[in-house]
Amino acid sequence: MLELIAPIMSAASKAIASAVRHASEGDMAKAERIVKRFVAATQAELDRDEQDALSALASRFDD
Amino acid sequence: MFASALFVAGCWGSYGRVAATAVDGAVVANNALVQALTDIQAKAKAQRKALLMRIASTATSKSAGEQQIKAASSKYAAVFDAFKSAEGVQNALADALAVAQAALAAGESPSIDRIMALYAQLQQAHGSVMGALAEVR
Repeated sequence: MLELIAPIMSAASKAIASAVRHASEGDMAKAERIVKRFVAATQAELDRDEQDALSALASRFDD
Repeated sequence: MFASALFVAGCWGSYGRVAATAVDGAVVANNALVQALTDIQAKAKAQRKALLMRIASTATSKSAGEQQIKAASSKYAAVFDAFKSAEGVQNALADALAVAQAALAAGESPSIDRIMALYAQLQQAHGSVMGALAEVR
């Protein structure tokens, strides 16, 4: 079955298929058991960067 | 990518092992996308900060600099809104994967449909992030 579908899979799909095929069930359970989560930047973080720039600007013109 | 992983996983092994392999494959795909989003966001934050600091160091007057910093910051708002949307979808996917893992641990068959739908949404969110980034470049 794999030989039949391999030609139509994208490179990314092949990489995943390869990882699944070669890893033992124990390895997969150990290595990928934890589901990662994405954390978006907070507005406070973005505001801080903006404030840093405004402070740098002010330091050039405020004597 | 994810659908193919599930399809491949479904092509061999016993049914119980197939379900476990499919969920593991989904976790692999999820984790790769989370890593990609994390890396892109770090670059976007660094790019935005570099732009703001460049304006601060080259502006010809304080008021002009303030306006330019605000404008540049606003330009990036859509980018970080897109990251926030991606976070919402990704959290839903992570929860669904955790439920699927718990079902497997309990010897039950996990529902893959919701995971596939959420993964498709997350790929769309990733595309939105890339589109928003292209707008500010």
